[in-house]
Amino acid sequence: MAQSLIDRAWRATTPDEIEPDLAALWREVGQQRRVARAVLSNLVVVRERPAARAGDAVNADEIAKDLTLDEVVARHPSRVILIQHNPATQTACAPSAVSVGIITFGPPHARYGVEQIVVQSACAEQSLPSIIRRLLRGDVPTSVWWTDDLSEAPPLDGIVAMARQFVYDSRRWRDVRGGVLALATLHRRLDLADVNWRRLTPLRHALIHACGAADADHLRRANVEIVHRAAEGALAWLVVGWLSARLEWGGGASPRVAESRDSNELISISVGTDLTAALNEHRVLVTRRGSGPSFTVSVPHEGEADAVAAELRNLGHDACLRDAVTALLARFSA
Amino acid sequence: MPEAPVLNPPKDSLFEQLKVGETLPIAVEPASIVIFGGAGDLAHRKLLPALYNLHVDGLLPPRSAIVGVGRKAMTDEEYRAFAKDGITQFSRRPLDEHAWETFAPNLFFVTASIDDDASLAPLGSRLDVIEHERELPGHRIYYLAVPPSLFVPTVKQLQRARFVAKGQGHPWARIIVEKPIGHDLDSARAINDAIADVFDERQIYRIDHYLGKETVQNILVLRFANSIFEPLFNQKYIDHVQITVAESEGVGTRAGYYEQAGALRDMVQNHMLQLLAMVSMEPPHSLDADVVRDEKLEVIQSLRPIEGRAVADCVVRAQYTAGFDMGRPVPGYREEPGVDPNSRTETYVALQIWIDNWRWAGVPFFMRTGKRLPKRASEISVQLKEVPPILFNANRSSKLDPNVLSIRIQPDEGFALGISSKIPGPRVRVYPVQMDFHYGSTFGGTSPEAYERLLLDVMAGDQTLFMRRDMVEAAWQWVMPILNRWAEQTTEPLPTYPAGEWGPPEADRLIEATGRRWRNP
Repeated sequence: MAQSLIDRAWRATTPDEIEPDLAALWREVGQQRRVARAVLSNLVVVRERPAARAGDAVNADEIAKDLTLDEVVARHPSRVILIQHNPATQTACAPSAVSVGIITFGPPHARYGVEQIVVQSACAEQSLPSIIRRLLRGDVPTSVWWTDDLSEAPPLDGIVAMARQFVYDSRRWRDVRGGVLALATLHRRLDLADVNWRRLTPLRHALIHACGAADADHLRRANVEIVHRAAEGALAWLVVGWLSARLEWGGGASPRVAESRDSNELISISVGTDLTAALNEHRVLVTRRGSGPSFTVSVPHEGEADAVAAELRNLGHDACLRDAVTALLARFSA
Repeated sequence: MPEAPVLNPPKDSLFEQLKVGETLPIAVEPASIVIFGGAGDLAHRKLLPALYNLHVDGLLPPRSAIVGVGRKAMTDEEYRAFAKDGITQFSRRPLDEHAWETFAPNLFFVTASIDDDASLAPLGSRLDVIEHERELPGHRIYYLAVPPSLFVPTVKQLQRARFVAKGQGHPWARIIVEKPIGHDLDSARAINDAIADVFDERQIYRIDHYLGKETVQNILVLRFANSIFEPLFNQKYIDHVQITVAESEGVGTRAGYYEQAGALRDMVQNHMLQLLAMVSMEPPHSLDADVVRDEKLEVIQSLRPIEGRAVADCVVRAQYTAGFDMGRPVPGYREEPGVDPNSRTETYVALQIWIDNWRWAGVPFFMRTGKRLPKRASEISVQLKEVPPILFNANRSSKLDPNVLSIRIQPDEGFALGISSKIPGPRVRVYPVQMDFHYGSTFGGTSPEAYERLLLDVMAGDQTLFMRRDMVEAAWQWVMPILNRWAEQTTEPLPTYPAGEWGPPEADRLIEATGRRWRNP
């Protein structure tokens, strides 16, 4: 989306004037040009950061720094509720600052706009849901996009309880086990959407094709080794979870997971000596010894915004991810 | 609503000759608007700003007089300052000094009480002077912006002071009564009887300000001016209807009133049953006030009574406890100033209602209202039946969202239709999207306040948006068995919900027992 096609209108407001000010902003924007108001979902983004000084205006760009929020809502128009929350605060209080904005996209003949509400909260966790609940639209689905590392900042239960979908990126996890355990209370009641899991899709599909005619018992008994590039540990463990769920590996079965510092591949899987599948940014290469020709599956080029927007559009249960997480929970809880 | 109601001047008057070919937005004659409780909160926040906006829009007839009446000693100038303050704070438009300069001379104040028989004499003589000086025809509107306990005494004083000629004479007199009309069926009948002693039903305007809202008036337009909706509004296609009227505020300074009322009396008996009637009534054969009101009455008379044990099955009442409002800690109802620490007054009520007529047989209507809910919002949502579980709805683990027509009464007035749409791409995946209409961004500007429309209708003699006596009493008759059942249950624990949440779990169970869920606005 070209930057020149994006316009913004912002104003500082108070907790009680959020909706009237948003309505006034829509009127102002509408007077300048024809804009369709677009909202497919509520998108709640909570960022745990130290609070700014009281009285400081909300700086949405600063709060959303390192996020591709504009690109996401350009692809999947949503009412964005962006919360900067200071987890150290113990006192229940109103937001310290609020601003509302409308971001418009697109060419003049097909311009559409989305609304953003940015809340700087210095209140205790137990009172945070009352802020978000006020701001949600009930007639569209609600997704929570958890942009922090789940293993270090687990989601607030009161917030995720309002959502239908929980979007996260396990690639951000410094501690895979901690991240998986943070999902323990979520995976049964919410639609999970892991952006990192999405990156595995070509690999999983390639393996399915490669193993199509193989004997399942043979596969179950084979030694499986997964080698991953540094910082791709979560990807490797997601494969372990998926295989564990689909092959019904017991707790005793233990594929070898290793990190390789000099690998060109993001991840590669060896099943016995017969089969290897290697994923990098562009393709999956499947090599088979004696049981058929090697082949490649291309990896779609997809940035973070594309991936998050695609997940937001996909409201169904991802049974494969849920089963993989369930299997990992069993493994890590043992 | 009828356009250009009838004016009274003789047929061959100059007025009649000049108005040939003109399209008057709404035709009204100048009158004196006498506000009992003229220095009170309702006048300050709503009535005076509404009259000011009518003046700005050129809809208040020239020379009209607005006369506040109250016990407080106040000069006209002081009353004008009081009005200016209210307009500055609460008008939908900022105060315009030029408009104010032409509006202010219409304002007067008379200090009077209704304690003794001679108490309205000063008001009478002052009105005579004002009407003479302004060459007014003597039409009067009496607005009872006073506590309900003063309705009957005020009307009796108007009778004693010979202010009112019963019937639609010339000059005419009309009376506006604010809800609540009574505390129960008997007291409602007593008030209605007392007013009927003095005023003919055609002179009585019982205000339910919800009916003055643009979005409520738009319900009839939506249903009967669009061929897409009306054929669907029946038991063949509608799964259920939800009506939610949520308030984020607590009881505030109204504890004295609210302790005696509760959510069922305060919201359901009037506003919510009116909304229910609007959304479910049969098409009227004309927009005449009584034709429309007859159809609404039919709905209320078709409501299945909720009596005896059925009250526990179909109604949930609850009280808010301490919680949070937009992050701030707020006290529970029983800790509010002026509230009995052992109060059993309900601040929340949810109901499952059946309309036993041909159109709606078997379609449940769910209503809920409460204080200290997460947001202030009123919405009617009409949920259509699901498509069969084949094709796109075959996956049981991710069923399609049903189509929902949601009518937003406030805030963000408008309506939306939720439909399923294919997500662009090679696979067939379906996503619920909204076809959305917003008054603010579509028509621009701000919609008139409900009181503006209603005051104008009183001046014009149009009773369509006002409650007729039989409607008020039918609504009371329907809620009385619930109130009576509750009155018997003095020791059972009352369900609670934390302030800032969408009600008690019992209300969730009420709807979930039918396989449905509350839809939050």
